[in-house]
Amino acid sequence: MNERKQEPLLEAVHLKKYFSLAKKKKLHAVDDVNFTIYRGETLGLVGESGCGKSTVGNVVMRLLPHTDGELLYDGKNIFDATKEEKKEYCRKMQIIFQDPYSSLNPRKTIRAILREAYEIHANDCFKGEDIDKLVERLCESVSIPLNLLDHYPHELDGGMRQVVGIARALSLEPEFIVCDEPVSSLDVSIQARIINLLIDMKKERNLSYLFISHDLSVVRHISDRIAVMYLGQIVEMAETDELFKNTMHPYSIALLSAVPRINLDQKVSRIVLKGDVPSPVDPKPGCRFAPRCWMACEECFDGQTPPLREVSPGHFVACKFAETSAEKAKSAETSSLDKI
Amino acid sequence: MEQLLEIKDLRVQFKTERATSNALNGVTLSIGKGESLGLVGETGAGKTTTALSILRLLPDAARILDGSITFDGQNVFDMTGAGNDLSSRQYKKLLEKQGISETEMRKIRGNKIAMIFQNPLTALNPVFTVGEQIAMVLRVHRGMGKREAMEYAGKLLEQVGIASYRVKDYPGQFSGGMRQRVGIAAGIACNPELLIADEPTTALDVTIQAQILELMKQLQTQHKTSLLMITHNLGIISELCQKVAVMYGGQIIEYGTVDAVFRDPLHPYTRGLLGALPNLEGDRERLVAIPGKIADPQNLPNGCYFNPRCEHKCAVCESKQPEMIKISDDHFVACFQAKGGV
Repeated sequence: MNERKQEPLLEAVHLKKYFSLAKKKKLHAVDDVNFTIYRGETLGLVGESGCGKSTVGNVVMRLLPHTDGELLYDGKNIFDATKEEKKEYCRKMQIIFQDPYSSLNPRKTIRAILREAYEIHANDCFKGEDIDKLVERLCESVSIPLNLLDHYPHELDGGMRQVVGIARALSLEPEFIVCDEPVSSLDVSIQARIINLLIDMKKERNLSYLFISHDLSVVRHISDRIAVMYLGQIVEMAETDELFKNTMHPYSIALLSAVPRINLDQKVSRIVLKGDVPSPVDPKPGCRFAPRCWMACEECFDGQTPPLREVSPGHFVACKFAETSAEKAKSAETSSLDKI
Repeated sequence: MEQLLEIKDLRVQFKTERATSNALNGVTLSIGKGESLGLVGETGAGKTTTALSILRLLPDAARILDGSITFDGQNVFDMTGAGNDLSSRQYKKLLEKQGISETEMRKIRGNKIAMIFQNPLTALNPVFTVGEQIAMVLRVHRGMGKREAMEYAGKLLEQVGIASYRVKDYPGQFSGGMRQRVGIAAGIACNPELLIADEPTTALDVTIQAQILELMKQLQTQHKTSLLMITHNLGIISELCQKVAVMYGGQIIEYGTVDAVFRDPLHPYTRGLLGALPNLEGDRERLVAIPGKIADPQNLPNGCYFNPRCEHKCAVCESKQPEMIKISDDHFVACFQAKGGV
């Protein structure tokens, strides 16, 4: 894995996305986000609803215009791409959406849905090839039964629809795929199948994923590295095992302890955060997490948001108290019950 | 333990012009006083239908074909052998005759049995303040006056961690997690004996979910309320419940204490569910997916409903339905292959 890491595929540099609201207010959906995805790697992006993780995915796919920053694909900023280059990026970068019910056109058959991408690129990379053959080969690779090709999306169950969504994303043999909560609307037994398919496809085709999800156990299962987002910013980023073993940001610690788990031998104590996620509209200065943080001191509330700093090799945390948080968490957990 | 709720061989069918859907196919279940039971299953397994049957809140298209429910010694209904060839008028008459009257039922709903719904956005009425909505429960069941009820509503809000001055706010002014707390406050207003929670945290984020779960744990220890927790999240069951019932195709296929069932799952479906879950600890092994599709209540297979997806099936599984067999005092399973443990 370490060898592969030498080659960055996608780099986000100071990526920002603000949404303008009435009365000159600005919603800071993505605020100065930096990350790198290496070739053949899966970067997991976790966070709660409204933290901006899907917006990152949409900006990366250029489904939303960015506000500021750069996005380097193979070292080139894709925001300044020419029209031809853009079409090429469309081929190399694909997205799988969350809801397999609304992401497939209900008026097209599965065959038509899967043909579409090939037809658009029929004059460049698929010149002279029989599109029907390509579609059939694609279906075989993700095990869609060929007799489903002439059916409409509503005739398929949720799991199969998501497989069609994945097949569509794979059709142009991309290098990079954004998976935006691809399994969160599926039942457990179906979810496992989709996760396995995504892992298989990645190995087979040396894909890179940006895997967006709110489910920590799913992200842990599929990712090589994980970035935790809170209110438009990445607060912690590390290799998967490192992040779960040495969780440092107070928010990540709370998030991890909040997941209900099957643990028969010991009752787990947890940190229960007070209140809700604050509004991302014109956020207050200082650390974004400070109002809900159990470690916050006065200086956390003013000045700059703490920058991501490398605490140990490859482990980035945006908190002043990163080194001591784990110990403090232990004492905080015991007193969590009376906090609510 | 003294039983609070007993469901016996409940069969419910949904009938529309196009199709007939067998939602419940013989559910037998009991909850003791002060006990918390988790009901797990995937989409269409019949979890919510079970809950609505207890409250007699099934929609018009539903028919109770067979079975009975007793709550705290009262007969909610006894439709044993009702069948499906009654006209809707005959059916309604029978339901009233064979159980307590609708007026009596209303005294139970929200009073002795309360329900917390999945979606806190749609469960509250947007044109009434949350105080009015909680007070309504108190005024109906406790006969409180307007002012007294409002004051008490404020106290209830404080119990669930919301400042009491917010009784005058509308549901739209609260966030999702707070709305769910309002739902819980209304649910516990009359100190119910049974609280039914239908996926109360599915629409919420993990940190908010943790708040709600802590709150429900507290309430359960304080008030000794019995809890029927409906969820598809096995982690929640493990943290909150003593007993668990696994549903598949409108039947309970495994039942027992959380410890017995999760430590030694015997039904292939329960094992499949546990194997399909990605872990937060330990090695990241490949997930074991359950092959095939979830049983379709409109077109159930012959024999054991799980047999088309089961890797241990034999001839008898395709022709006969397995009965619940007792493995130990706190573990029951409905599978032919499970005798003595597979």
